[in-house]
Amino acid sequence: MFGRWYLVVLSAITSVLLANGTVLPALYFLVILAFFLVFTQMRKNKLLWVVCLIIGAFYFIYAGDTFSNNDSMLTGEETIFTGTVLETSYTVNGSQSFQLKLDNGERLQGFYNRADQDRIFSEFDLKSGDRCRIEGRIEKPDKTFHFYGFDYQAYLHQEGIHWVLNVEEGEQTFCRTAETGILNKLRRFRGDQIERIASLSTGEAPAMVSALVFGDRSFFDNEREEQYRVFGLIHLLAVSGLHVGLVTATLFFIFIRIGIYKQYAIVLLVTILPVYVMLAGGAPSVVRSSLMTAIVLVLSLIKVRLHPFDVISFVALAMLIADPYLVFHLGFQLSFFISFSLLASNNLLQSVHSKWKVMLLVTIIAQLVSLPIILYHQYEWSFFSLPLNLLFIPFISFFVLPISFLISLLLNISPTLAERFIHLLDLMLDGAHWLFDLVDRNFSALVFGKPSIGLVFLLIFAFLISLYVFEKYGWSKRALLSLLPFFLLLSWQKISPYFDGEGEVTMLDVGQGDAIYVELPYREAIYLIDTGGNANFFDDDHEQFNFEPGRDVVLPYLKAKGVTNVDRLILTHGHADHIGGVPSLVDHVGIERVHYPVGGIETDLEHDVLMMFRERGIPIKWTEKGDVWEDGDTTAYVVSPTGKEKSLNNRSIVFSVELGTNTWLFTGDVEEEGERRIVADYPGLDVDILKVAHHGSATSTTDVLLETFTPSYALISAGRNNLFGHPHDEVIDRLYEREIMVYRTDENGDVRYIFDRKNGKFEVVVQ
Amino acid sequence: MRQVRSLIETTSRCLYCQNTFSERPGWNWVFSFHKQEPLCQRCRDMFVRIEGDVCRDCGRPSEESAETDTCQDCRQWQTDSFWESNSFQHRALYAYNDFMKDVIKTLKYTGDVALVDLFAEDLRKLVDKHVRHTVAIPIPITKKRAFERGFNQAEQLGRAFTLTHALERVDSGEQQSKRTRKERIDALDGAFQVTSTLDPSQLNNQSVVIIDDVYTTGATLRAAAKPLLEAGAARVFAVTVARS
Repeated sequence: MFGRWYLVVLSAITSVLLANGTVLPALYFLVILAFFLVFTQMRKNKLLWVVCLIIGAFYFIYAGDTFSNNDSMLTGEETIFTGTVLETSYTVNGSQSFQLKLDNGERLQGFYNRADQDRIFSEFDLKSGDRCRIEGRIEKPDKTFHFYGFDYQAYLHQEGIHWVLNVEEGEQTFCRTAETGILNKLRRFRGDQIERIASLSTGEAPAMVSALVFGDRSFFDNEREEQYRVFGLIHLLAVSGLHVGLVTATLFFIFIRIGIYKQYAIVLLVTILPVYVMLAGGAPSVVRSSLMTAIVLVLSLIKVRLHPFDVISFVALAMLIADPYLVFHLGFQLSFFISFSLLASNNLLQSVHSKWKVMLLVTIIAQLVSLPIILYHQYEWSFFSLPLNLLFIPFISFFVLPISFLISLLLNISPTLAERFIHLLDLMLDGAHWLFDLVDRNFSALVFGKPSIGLVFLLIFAFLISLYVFEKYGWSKRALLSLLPFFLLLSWQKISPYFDGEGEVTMLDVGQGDAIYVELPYREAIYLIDTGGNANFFDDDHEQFNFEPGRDVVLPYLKAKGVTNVDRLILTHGHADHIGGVPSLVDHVGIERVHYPVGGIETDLEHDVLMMFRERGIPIKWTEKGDVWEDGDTTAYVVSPTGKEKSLNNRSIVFSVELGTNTWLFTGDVEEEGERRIVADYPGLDVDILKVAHHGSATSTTDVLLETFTPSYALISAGRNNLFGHPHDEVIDRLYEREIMVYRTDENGDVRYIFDRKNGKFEVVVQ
Repeated sequence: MRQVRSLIETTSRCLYCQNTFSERPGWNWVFSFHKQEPLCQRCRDMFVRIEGDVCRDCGRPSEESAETDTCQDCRQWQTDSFWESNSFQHRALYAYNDFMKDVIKTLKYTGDVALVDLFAEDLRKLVDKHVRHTVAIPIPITKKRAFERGFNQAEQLGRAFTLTHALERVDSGEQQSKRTRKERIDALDGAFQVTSTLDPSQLNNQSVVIIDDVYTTGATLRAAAKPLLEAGAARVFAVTVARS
């Protein structure tokens, strides 16, 4: 059993996943566990089998119990909530978020407008640890409406939070500073420190310091954080083994220097570590590394030797007891998996002798080992990940991190000195981030698309086997060859769509607007019909928008699909809810050609958008009735506009295309006038699936159109609670009267139609 | 209690020095495609594997003369008309250093047959690298010695082969290890013979492997090879755990 507890962890993880009903990943873990227990020498270890079985069963029962008890005791009707404020943090859109732990133990995720803070709380400065009675309404957290979307409800559920509390002004609201409890005091201290750091400078240093020292990343600019993510540097912003190691080593050194006996120094350290975990925000990576450090220290004290694999395994098992949901936590997954991989690479690392080579090797192993998991979550990876890591790991560890700790210390001794240092750090980070922006502007990341879970497991397994071969045979031809499966699988992820006979049409939920993704079988071509967009795009600085459909819906979907090139961007007409997303896309996706309706340019928006294409040399095809285009076996027939229509809506590109066994009609925002003309010109057109024009406005989808084209399915793209009342009841009635099946983005979220030569089926995010 | 302790404590005990040890964590450990390492790191480092250029015939590591592919010793053997025309080759796993001498002593004279596990598989691999043999024969020991020791070390070392007991010892006097090179060679002539029960056609034109523990002068192994070659074997390949 010695050194084999990692298998027990696999067994525990399998059980926790099973208990949650996440069957597929559980199965993959089971296969890996079975592989070890059946195909390696461990098969002879009966004890191992038994322990895996017993502990697995225990975790299944324990996690199942925890999961089924994770339920709310509130009805949703309550308006007054009393409890302790747990943590407060800023969010980008001017609201303040906090968690409130009710006296019955349940937690709420609260939000209020930062501008209203003084009014709501009567000038009280809300901080962690405060006792509060708060008035407000609670509602269920948002579910995702997108394929590959972030499910906030599921995320909060795993945190044990079932309601979002929107704080309202009210007479009952009252808060007071908590005076009791060391935990509350620590929380308060942490919150104070973070706030003081934030007030030191307006540069990027405070965000960095509060991330590195206190594990609070909320001050980071979203785009900056995204850069760290794409460059594979995000691990540097998480408090992890590196930080814990630095803190422990420094303290230990100080203790010894001031004459404390080694044994007492260790005892002291072990008592201090939990305090540090609290201050550093308590993320899984901090807990993991602190627990491991504590165990190793205690073991050295009582002179018991434990296998390093067992140490990390016991920590994992303990943390899964404390919170079985951690299995789903990306930070938990990465922290444990990378640490384990580096521990196991010990022999490999000892085979190189120069320190720089060791660092290079550590970086490469950590990067490649986590690549499949990273791809699963962010779909892309930058080539610059490696060189930037080699540059930034020492930069952050040797300069930024020590300075950050120094600043936090000085904060309470000499604020002026702290300010000096934070300005120094500002300068350093400016330089570093200048490099980021430079790389970001000139090179795009490799977009792989979202790999299946099976592929993630295969990739990881292939790479680990390769590490084994490297360990066994050194830097030989055989070892290099062993990397081949890993890279082949990686390439497969990139090229497999071209071997896939299934195509799809996905109407993306962009709110009020249109954006439809069309992929032909074998990826013979990709169309994007409109991009969604906010109204009045160019009136404001576009960064002001909290939600921009092009950036937040269309681009992520393209990335998840592994699409870097769109063959035809069909902009049906020049309204902002159809072309407003172009600026967010045009520099991140290759566009082969743009289809734009004939008939002249009316608005500034149209002009600006078209200029963007021209500046980038993207050809614009002025498209009109009678145009035909072909891609592989697919032919599209344009039935409108003629160019003489009066309104922009009626000038929409309307085209028909046969996909699989069904004929589609994409209508843009065409209205009655246009529809009548199309019906008159193409009375014989038989449509199976209709993209309902103009978000279901009563001015479109006329009886005559439905009578003539006789569609069986209708797709409506409209925003939830939009100002226009789309889709209008009349249209819905017209469709229902004819027993036409309706899918709509405001209710179903993204709507996807998957087809091949013979079959086709619809799927939606929300049933 | 021991069961409980074994859940977290090491159970590996070095096959040679008997100390407990823990294998360094590595991917080899993670995947465990191989049997657990039987030796502790210290003992493992003491074994010196023979690698690189060796004498074509006797497998002696060639230090000084890369220009000739056979060593001085083997060239001397070839002055003998029998060895001039017959093929004899030998390879050993390890150098016969002081540590190895102790290992062999422990194996042979204190009867620690378990040590054979360290070599049996490797001997087989070594042979497979050089010849496609058909008959594997352990060097026999005298009845007297077999009685004293309780086992024949060569037979044990040949565990990984299908053994044919084709040789027997013609009784001689002293132990080989107590003689000089000259004495050994002289005393050994005619020390082995092919067993009378063996069907001679079994050897005819075959590649034969003979197995022993140590190669010092090569006299014993050549003496054993001679009757086999005379009985019709095409070539003899000798394999030992260690050579000096």
